[in-house]
Amino acid sequence: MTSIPLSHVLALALALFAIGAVGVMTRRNLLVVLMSIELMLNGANVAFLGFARWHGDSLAHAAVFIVMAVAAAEVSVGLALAMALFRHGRTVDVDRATRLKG
Amino acid sequence: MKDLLSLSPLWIPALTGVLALVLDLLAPRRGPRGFLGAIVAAGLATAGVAAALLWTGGPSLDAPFLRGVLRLDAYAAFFAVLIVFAGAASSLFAIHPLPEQQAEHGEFYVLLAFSVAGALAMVAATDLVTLFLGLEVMSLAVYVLCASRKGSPFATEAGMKYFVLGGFASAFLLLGIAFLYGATGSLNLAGVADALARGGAGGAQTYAQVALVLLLVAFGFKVAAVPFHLWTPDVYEGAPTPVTVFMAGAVKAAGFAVLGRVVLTAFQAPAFASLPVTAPGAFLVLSVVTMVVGNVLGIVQDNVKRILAYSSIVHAGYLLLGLYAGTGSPTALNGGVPFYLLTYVIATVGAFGVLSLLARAGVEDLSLDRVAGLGRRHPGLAALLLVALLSLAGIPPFAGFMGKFYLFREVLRADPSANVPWVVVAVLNSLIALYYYLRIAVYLYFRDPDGEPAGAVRSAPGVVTAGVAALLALVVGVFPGRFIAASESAAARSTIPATRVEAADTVGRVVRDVRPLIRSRETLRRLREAERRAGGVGR
Repeated sequence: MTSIPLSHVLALALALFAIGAVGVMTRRNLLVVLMSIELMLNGANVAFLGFARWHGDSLAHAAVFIVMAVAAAEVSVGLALAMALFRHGRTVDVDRATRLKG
Repeated sequence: MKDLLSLSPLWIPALTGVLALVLDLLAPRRGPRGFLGAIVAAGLATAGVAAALLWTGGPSLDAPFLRGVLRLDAYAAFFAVLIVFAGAASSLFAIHPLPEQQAEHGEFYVLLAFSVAGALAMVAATDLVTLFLGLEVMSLAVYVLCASRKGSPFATEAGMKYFVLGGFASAFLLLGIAFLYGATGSLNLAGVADALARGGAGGAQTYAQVALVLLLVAFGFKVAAVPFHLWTPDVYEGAPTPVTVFMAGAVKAAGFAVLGRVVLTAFQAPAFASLPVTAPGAFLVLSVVTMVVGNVLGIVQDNVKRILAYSSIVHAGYLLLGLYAGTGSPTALNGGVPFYLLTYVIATVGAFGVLSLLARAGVEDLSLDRVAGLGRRHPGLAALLLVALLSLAGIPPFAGFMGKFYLFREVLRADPSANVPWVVVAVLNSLIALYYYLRIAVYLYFRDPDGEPAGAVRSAPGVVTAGVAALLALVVGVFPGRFIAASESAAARSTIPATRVEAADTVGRVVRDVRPLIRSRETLRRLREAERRAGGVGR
């Protein structure tokens, strides 16, 4: 098995993370924002796995499983909030949520 | 058994949550749910007493439990007491006599208990994954609590904003942890500190630098430091006020506890002094920006809840200055930061607590015009609010004054010459902050309400809790000795001593069961080796 250098894995991880971060900041649909947050978490997961391989130990594999469970919990809360937001305004556009001046 | 007892501050809140959940199911469907608040408050108080007892007398207090994943030492116990205080107060303020206003669903109290459990796991964590897990358990519950008033679009919006920015911050934290792991090969704080002190793996300096920046961003969001504060005023204003009590008190205390512990433990090594972004440097910049921007924005607000939200941002600035002094000096953290947090939590619980009693019947408009004249209509509540405000402003004889005095003195002591200008900046900022605290006081006593005045509800548990907070603000301000001693003993344990941690001692064991999923042969070989070294359970 030819091994992939750590730098490539990290580049992928950071790219995923950056795409997610840009998505959170620029997209207006709460559902897309949710997906972007997931993308960021998965970018971090890829970084974990890349480093785990590099160090040659398994510590981070357990961490990744835990993070996946946490991400699932986060999505369920996020979707519930999207539902609640939709009930009030018939939209999940976050730019329209401006009742609180901020 | 002994371990179970020593961990009691951690599992009592979780158990209380489960108990409240079952009782909520058993109770009549449409009946009142206030009794759950009392139960949760009692459970949290028990956890607080357990933490205090362990702290003062338990021989096994410093023993790391669960294979070095949790450590309930004096530092964790100190913050545990602060967190359960804010949690119990929040639960008592939520017990509301008006049916439209009370947390009509039992889940409110259940989530509050679970959130406290998460916060406690977070401050007791010595393992970065456990820390992340605790943070998420705490945060996910708080997102829901923010939006718990289903009929209110404001609350839903607050919950949504907090969720998006909180999730964003969590991702930064996670990537930061990944890079810290990359730099050191360990997920345990003791192991991380050890590896970094020895220089770490190849390229470790770069990875550690990235990790530091990411962690600062993540915790900047959690403790509401400028420029990561944008969510704070909206969320504090829109959330039900008892939840604001919890966010401003417990969540902030937990955030600072963990920020201090992680950064002091991992980034104290002299090798980091030459990096472009150093921990003390970043703390100093964040601190000054947070104080100044928070104050400027606080001055122009005209809603009491928003003013107090900006005030909580400014307080984060003072605390960051304390962390700066702690990381900059070889003596590590001094008692200033824990003691300041103690005084801040007491005063902020008192202030937001009184506000939660003013909010009436679904309308939570707490603009200055409506709060005006409260001193005449409800002299008792106005006096309690005034005490909390004076304490936040740092006026003697209240706790906030001692907190500021002690914090600034410790900052000066860390570096008597270089820190003078920063302390001057902090003192000037506390003077500016006086303006908006006193502005609220003037409205309370010397102005007439414009429009329908804010009413107050007769909620015995709420009034008593606000009274206790005011009393504590006075007691800590007049007799600070014991509290300062406790803060110093907590600060003495702020860092985790560096030790070599074998992979198989911690999370590694878990992985044995998922071994078929691991493809890398190298990893398998290392894993077997580690297992053999650790006493061999290999199959």
